Amino acid sequence: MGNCIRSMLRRLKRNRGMEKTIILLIVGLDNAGKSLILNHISGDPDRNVLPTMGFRTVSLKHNSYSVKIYDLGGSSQIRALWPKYYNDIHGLIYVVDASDISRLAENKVVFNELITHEHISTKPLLLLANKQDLNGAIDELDLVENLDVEHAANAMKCPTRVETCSCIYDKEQSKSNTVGIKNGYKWLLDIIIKNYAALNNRTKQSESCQHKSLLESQSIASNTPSRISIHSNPFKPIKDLLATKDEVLINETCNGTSERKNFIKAFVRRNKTAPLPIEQSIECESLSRNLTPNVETLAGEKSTQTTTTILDPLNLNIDYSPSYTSTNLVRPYTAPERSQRLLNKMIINIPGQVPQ
Amino acid sequence: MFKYIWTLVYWYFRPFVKWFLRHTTQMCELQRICYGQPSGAPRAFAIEESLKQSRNANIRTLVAYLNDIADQRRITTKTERKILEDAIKTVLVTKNINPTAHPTFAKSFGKCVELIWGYRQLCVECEELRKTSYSPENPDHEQLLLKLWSLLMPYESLEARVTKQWQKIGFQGDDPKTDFRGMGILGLENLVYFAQEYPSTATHVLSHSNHPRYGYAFAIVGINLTSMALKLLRDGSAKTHIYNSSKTLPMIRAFHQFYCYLFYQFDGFWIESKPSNMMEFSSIQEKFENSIRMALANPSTVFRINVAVDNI
Repeated sequence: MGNCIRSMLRRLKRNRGMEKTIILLIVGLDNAGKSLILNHISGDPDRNVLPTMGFRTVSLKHNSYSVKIYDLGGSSQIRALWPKYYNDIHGLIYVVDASDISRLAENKVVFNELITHEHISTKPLLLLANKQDLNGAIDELDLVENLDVEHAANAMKCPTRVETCSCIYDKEQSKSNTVGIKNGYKWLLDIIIKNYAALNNRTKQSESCQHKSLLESQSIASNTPSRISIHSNPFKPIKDLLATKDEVLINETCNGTSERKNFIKAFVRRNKTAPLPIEQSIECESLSRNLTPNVETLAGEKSTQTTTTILDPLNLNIDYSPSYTSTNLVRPYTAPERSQRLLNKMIINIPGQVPQ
Repeated sequence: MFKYIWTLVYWYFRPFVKWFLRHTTQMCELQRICYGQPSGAPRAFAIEESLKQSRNANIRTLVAYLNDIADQRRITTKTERKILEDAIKTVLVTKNINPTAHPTFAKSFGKCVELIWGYRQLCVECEELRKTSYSPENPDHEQLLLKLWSLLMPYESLEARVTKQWQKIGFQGDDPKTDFRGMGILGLENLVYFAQEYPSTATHVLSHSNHPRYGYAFAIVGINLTSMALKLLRDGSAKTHIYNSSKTLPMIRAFHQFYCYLFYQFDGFWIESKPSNMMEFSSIQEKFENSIRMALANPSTVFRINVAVDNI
């Protein structure tokens, strides 16, 4: 009887927990102390940490949310695999070995590559300057300067917080050193919870978009009659192309209308310079408004930007035009020709075709 | 629930059973084990259990004494003989065994004592090596590291002590010293032993680790496997292998051998499971550990590297 009730309670709990999961990612160069920091967060005092091969997952609880943290290895071979995880995460922890000045340049490259990734932008980021117990460790100001954090974070609208910390400590100074990890972690979770709906929508959306675009590219590949691109003029107006594509799709599948929407979505997604859907930009605005003060200045600029044409290539990713709401695509004239992208897609299928 | 009742019954009835058997067979329990069980792990396990549960004051002091000696790592090839003789004498006197009537008992019992406390000493020794962290100031450590390079890459010389070349044998950065965190000098000694004793196998495994699709970081995987081997040693799962394979006192060599077997097997296991990338390492390692544990659960298991594969 008791077992029965307990298992039911557990199942209930699990169902509720399923809805609200926060996924965090810990990255950084090798030997930065990522695994040890994660051990600290999860309250595991084990100091014997091996070089992480691949990755490790730790599940924790925070209020009613279940928090899942991915700890990725930092070796250069594994760094190539990091971007696979960017899509699913709600927040990011980047760890720097502040005592190793010789690797700051490497850190800057890796960090910039990371923060300019399209799936990372606008997601909250915690930067930890680890190993403050060692001599010669730089403080947070130097770190921000060296990694050019301010510029990158503003450009990508990532709410960012920098903390100093250390995992090795004597008994008397234990609080002062590890408090950075605790504070930063708490801040990160608070900010994610505040914007949970938006962030979660985004991870879900990009997930489904990716899935759809994958399906879409497959269906294009299989449905495209090869003669279109060989014999006809490749520089057709995009509307014609879309129409033919849709016809094919309708003929092939029963639910053509939904497919068409998907197609447009996928198209928008693939084309990086196209404006994002409106709800997303609202989200980043709301994020930026209540988070960091330096981002606010940028949000203020945005109101002027909507009236003029945008020339800053960094802002192109995030900016939007209000006319997008009705799937009528209005593109900034700085964007490249729309047809090129689609045609490339088709040309790939034809063997022996000379690329134009 | 059933288990608790069983231990209670066992606790009260064991002396009666032992007394009954002693009077019917005219032998004490240790003798019955030595004559009844096959040599190697089954006999050593049974003797260990019997000694642990003994309520005789003499035997208890003997066990405590041996534990103490093993923890201080005082069993060496020189002192071993005397310690074993003392232990055998104590048992012969307490159990009233006539050594001339049972010449084989003394021998096989001595062997079991050697294995059981040799293993205990081995655990302590490995633990100490693990705690010794790699230090660039120590010339021995540096030399060992350079030796590892020359063994694995005989046709390529190191340009500098800190260089990108280390990544070729699977270290993470330019300086391998940080990668030995956690396992200390034990990880390095394991790798060097593997490269030294099984040069062809090691190069074979190293070439696998450079596979374009199923590649992995040789040294880092090696260090992770050291941790796994140490875990198996600590929780006693490795006893089966060590007891069965050791002909004499188990020394650090036995641990290295065990490690080499694990590394070689893991390489095969990894290639066979066709991982899509290195992120699957932890799940594959878990599976591998389970399969090793399953094998070790069988008391007749001995791990040997299959040398035939070296020639291919």
